[in-house]
Amino acid sequence: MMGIINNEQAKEIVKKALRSVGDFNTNNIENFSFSPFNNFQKNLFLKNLSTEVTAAGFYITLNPGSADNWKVVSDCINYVENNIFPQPV
Amino acid sequence: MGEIGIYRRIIFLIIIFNAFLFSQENEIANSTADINAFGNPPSIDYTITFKNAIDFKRTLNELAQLKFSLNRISDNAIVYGTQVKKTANDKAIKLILVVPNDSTSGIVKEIFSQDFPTYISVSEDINIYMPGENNPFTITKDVLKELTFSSKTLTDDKMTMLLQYLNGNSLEIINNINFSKEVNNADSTLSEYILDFDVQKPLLSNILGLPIFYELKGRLSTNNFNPLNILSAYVRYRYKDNFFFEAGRTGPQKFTKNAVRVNLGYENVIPNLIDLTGGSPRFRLKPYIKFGASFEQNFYEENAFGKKGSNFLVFFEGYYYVPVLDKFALIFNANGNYSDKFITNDKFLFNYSITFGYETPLENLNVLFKVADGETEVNIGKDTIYSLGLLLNFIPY
Repeated sequence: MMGIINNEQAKEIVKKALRSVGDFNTNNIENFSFSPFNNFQKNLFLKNLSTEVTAAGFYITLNPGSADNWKVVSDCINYVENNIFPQPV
Repeated sequence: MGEIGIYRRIIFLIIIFNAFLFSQENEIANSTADINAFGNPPSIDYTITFKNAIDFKRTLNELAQLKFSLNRISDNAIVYGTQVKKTANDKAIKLILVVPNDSTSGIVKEIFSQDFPTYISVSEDINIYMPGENNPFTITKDVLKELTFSSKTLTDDKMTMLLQYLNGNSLEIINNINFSKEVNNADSTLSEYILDFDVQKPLLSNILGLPIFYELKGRLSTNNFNPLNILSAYVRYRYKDNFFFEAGRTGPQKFTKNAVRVNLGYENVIPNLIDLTGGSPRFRLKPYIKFGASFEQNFYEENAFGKKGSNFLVFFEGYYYVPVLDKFALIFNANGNYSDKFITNDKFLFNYSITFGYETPLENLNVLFKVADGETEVNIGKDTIYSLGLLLNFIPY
């Protein structure tokens, strides 16, 4: 069954959030590693990810622990795809 | 009873049995309560996930008809100031407990109470519809109560996190501890063992919800006289995401030499300064900077001021992870202090480390070479330390 959004749509949201903490010149962002991020950069990215999800008309639960198991950006994209909800009423 | 009556009864039982069977076509796979720290406003999100897919549009309509609230178990009264929103996707429903941004810690404590628990109440049982099915899976009021009971789902750690973010502050929990063996360039036969750490935890977070942390930060070495050694313990207050005020002990790793320092500062990322990727498709993390002003009261003489006393300084810190070509990376770490009261020739005391290594897929950076150089305001002297080979893995947190 089709979810709320597909993996490609989730990727577009994550890409926008990534641009707040870094630059890249490729669409192949899946293998970018989170390990160089310091705590401040990680928080900033998560905050912007939440903002981008809201801007796209959706809702997601995010906190610093959400990213504990994300090694690379594809982990984040999968998390967004699987945990996104319509805006609450 | 006639034959027709028996058939009618059998058909009725089949219908009931079928309805029962259909209502069991789904089940709750798990239920969680998480803090949506980055929500606007932050919230407590209860997620009930189902084993099989659900028709989220129909379920959403169902949820929209129902009235949810957070109630106290003791008298079933609604907890003042709270609101429950709801949503659903193809796998789960989510009940979002919204606490106003200006909430006092009293309301938050009441929500998280273990002695007088709270729970999510609903006006009717919740019908969850599966795609193409008319017979819903039902979550009764009692089941929902059980799944959202505060004493079972909400922990002190979650309360701390909610309080920090309700006040518009990011919760920083740094647990960066690195142990390394380094070679002193003055005498390569002397091995020096180094412990770098930065540990930060919330402190007094349940008092007015203030974002107060303690932080232990330092570089300790088996060489007691290494001028790069420093040991700091601060209590830190954060304002919004970028400003901080901290006060505490700083000084060498000897506890007999102490200084009290108060820092007022700002931190952020800035645009990238260099591109060494040569066009390779790498992620170029923006540099992190931190700077501010300090007041330092020294209680020992062997420092950069050359005497006991109080002084003002300005300080900065920086971190820059620079990808190089297709698989290498340079890491710049630096911090410095400026004071015209320093007795050194240079009034800007600066120390840095440069790390060079290579990345492997799904792993941290493998360090090939590292140099640490410079001086600190809490010691006298300057040193350079080199590390060669695969001695370290770079783990920022």
